[in-house]
Amino acid sequence: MATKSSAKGILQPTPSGNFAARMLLLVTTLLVVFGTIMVASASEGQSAANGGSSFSIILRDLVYLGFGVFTLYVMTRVKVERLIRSAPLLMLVGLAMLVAVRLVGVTTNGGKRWLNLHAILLQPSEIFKLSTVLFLAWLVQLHHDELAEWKHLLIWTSPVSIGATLILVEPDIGTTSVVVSIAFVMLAVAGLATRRLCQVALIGVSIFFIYMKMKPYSAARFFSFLHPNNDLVSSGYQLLQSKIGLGAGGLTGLGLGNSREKFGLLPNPHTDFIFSILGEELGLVGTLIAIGLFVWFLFVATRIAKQCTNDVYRVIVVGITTWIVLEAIINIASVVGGWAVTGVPLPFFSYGGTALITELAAVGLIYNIAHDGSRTRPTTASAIVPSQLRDPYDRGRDQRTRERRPSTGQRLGR
Amino acid sequence: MSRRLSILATIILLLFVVAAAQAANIQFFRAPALDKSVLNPRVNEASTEYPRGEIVAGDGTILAQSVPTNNATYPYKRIYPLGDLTAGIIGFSSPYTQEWGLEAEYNNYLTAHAQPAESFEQLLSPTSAADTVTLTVEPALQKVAQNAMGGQDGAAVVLDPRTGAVLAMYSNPTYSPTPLTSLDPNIVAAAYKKITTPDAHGFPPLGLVATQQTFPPGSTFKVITTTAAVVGNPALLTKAYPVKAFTRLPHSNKLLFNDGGQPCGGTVAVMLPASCDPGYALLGLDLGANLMSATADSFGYDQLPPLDFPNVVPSYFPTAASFAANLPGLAYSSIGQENVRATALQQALVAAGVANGGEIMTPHFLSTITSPDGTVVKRYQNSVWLSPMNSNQAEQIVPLMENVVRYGTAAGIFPSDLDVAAKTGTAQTGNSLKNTDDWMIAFAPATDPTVAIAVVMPFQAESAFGATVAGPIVKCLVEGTLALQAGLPVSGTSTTCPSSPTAAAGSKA
Repeated sequence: MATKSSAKGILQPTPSGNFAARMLLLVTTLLVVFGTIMVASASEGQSAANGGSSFSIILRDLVYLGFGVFTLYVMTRVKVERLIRSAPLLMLVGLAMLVAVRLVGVTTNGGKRWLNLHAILLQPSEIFKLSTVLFLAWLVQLHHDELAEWKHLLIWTSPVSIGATLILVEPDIGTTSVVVSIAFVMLAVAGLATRRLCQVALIGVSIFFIYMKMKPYSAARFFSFLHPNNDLVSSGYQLLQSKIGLGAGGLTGLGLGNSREKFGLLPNPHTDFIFSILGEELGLVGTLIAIGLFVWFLFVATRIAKQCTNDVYRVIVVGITTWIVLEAIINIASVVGGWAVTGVPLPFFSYGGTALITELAAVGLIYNIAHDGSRTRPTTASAIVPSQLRDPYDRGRDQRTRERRPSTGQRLGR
Repeated sequence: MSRRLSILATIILLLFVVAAAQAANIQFFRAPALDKSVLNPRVNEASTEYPRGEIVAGDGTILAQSVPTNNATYPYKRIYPLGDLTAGIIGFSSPYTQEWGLEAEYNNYLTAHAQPAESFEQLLSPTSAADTVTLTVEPALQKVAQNAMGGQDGAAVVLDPRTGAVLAMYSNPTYSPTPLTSLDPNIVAAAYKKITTPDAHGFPPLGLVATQQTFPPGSTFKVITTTAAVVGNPALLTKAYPVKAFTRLPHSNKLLFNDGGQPCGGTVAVMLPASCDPGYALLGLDLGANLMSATADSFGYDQLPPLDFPNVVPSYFPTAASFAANLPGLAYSSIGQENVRATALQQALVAAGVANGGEIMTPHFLSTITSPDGTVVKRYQNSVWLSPMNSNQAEQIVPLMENVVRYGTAAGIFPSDLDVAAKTGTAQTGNSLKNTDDWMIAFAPATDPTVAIAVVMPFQAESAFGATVAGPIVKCLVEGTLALQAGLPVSGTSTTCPSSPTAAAGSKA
């Protein structure tokens, strides 16, 4: 069913009637329900250890979920164009919050990552992922050609680089890698030349190794997954307990609520290592179902991206999908001992208010975009032109960007 | 753009596949190893939080069970009603040490684990409980062995040759498991130190002599040498070896004397009952290193017996190549001396192989494992381990071993109404005290065997013989087993078997 957007205001009528979008809502609902059940179970030990009710964590999670569903609803109705135009402002807000974390942030477990807003411990690095997606979309829309040149590429992506650096020094190497990956993939899909992509990747890897050289302690922790039995007291302990938990789960698990690892043996059972508790309680069947849901999410989101009639929107869908599935892969791989434990959460599963709300907002945006074909006139790669993205209130900029628009089918960096 | 999107989606999909494969690897293939890992703190925790399963003997006697305590940390502790009688095989489970013996072997079943769901509620939240392990062991026969051995170091193994079931396996030194299950770590530490300290003969009580100590098998090995002739070179069965008190060994000036110094010789049928050392040394030389080594291995030497029990050691026969420049060594090895080493378990399997028509059944303690609701979780399935000969070949050896009992080295040991086939062994240890390791292997009834036995009593006096030291123990075990199998009281058939270890020690003194 086609929906009609109103010219005024930031919201438009709620879109509905698109098969892929409905599938997206269905798989997200399944992920969130599954995730919430797992938080309820995995947080039992931590809640008890905190001295309160064993429901204290899950009750907060449900409140966050409520906020998340509301944000999702808002994002399904927001005018994507307006959102993209606000991207620089949102990026500025994101950077400001990351600077605030440096100045007045809350430190937990050696990481200074949160802002205490009393009602919620806000994690700006989670919000920065969404800022990055929108900012990159804005860049692709308005500065497409300029990105082909090294100088302009570095200048225009510098807000993302600054944000990533601020997150890296929190320190949060996991979130940094996700932000950088989102930007890289979005630029790749937007058409940055292969040679340029390789150069960017090379620089990224070089910076990673220089950082590791400068921070030998972080490097030792990062690479401890390669030799998990070397240091069973500190860095290897968590991974070993994770594997023992998964092993205890076996094929069908110990039963929902029956994890033994969550009672003080496995640190962070309801956040970073919730997948291990899932495997312990529901076995290989449970872990494969969870992985299957993420794969389903990937298929649905990829389908939406391919059906996109607007290349900028497509880049947004790709950015958000990369964010969700990459985090899932990094988290699962680290829990099963195939990648470094870097504190990357499992989307929709790991307990964390900011992450859950931002992820649901991002899904809302994909749902919204899934209807772009039924809302606007189809556009193609050659048609990402300012005139079609023109906003009645911003004619002057449209005029400027029109002069810079790429020729039909032209790729960045040629 | 679309192509890059497809490539990207494919890469991510492949990463998911890799992650799923690793999850499957941990949760399916590596799960048993992770579960048993000593680094798994839950292994000990689970063993104290819930009662462990019972270990029950073939006759229903409880050999191990968990009882409640007043201790909040360890709400259950293990007790072993038969104490040192079954400690060697049952082992123990303590909160402060790793499990031992069959407690370790069947730890996964004995430790509380999720039970199959019987309702939807249990599907979501399974109940935890342990299984019951039922053994083939008969406590009455353990008692016969313990009494008959009179507290002396040694081992007795009783098998059912038809199935491989271990009916009894008793070793001295033994130990009381009671202090090891104490909730006081100091008592456990002291007891553990005691049972891991070797006795005067070098045997720590914790190490089961029957499966962990090897001795020269002496003349009991002649059954294997005989098999080599029957299977590999039957012409030698009719060769008459010279009647001599000694023989000169090739490529050396060594003389190999008959044990006791009497002249002996003739065909195999004559030499086995008399246990003629010079004759069998020459027979071994005639058979050759390849055949001797291959036949020893066909009985299970140089490999681990697949007994469901931890820390079993293999028996040893030198490689054929090692005899190339040492023919005297082949002569000595053919009579179970020099470097040949065997456990009591191995020699019991030799007897069982001949008894069972040439097929050695896989030895085992397990009968069944049952869940708390009585469902049989696992029932032991009999299987053939090795086939050193066929039934026709075995039938040629049985009468020779019967003659050992009728008029050979074991004459007068068994009552005439018992149809027993046996072989004695008296191995020179070569130590300063000229001690002997005294053996007997046997099976009965010779015509349709239902029991196969090996007894080794090491560090006996120079004047002692396998027949005189191990023989009476084997006799009591044969009588006891046949009585048990006939449904009669084990102790009611014999007047000459000691009724307690102290009585036996006293009579010896």
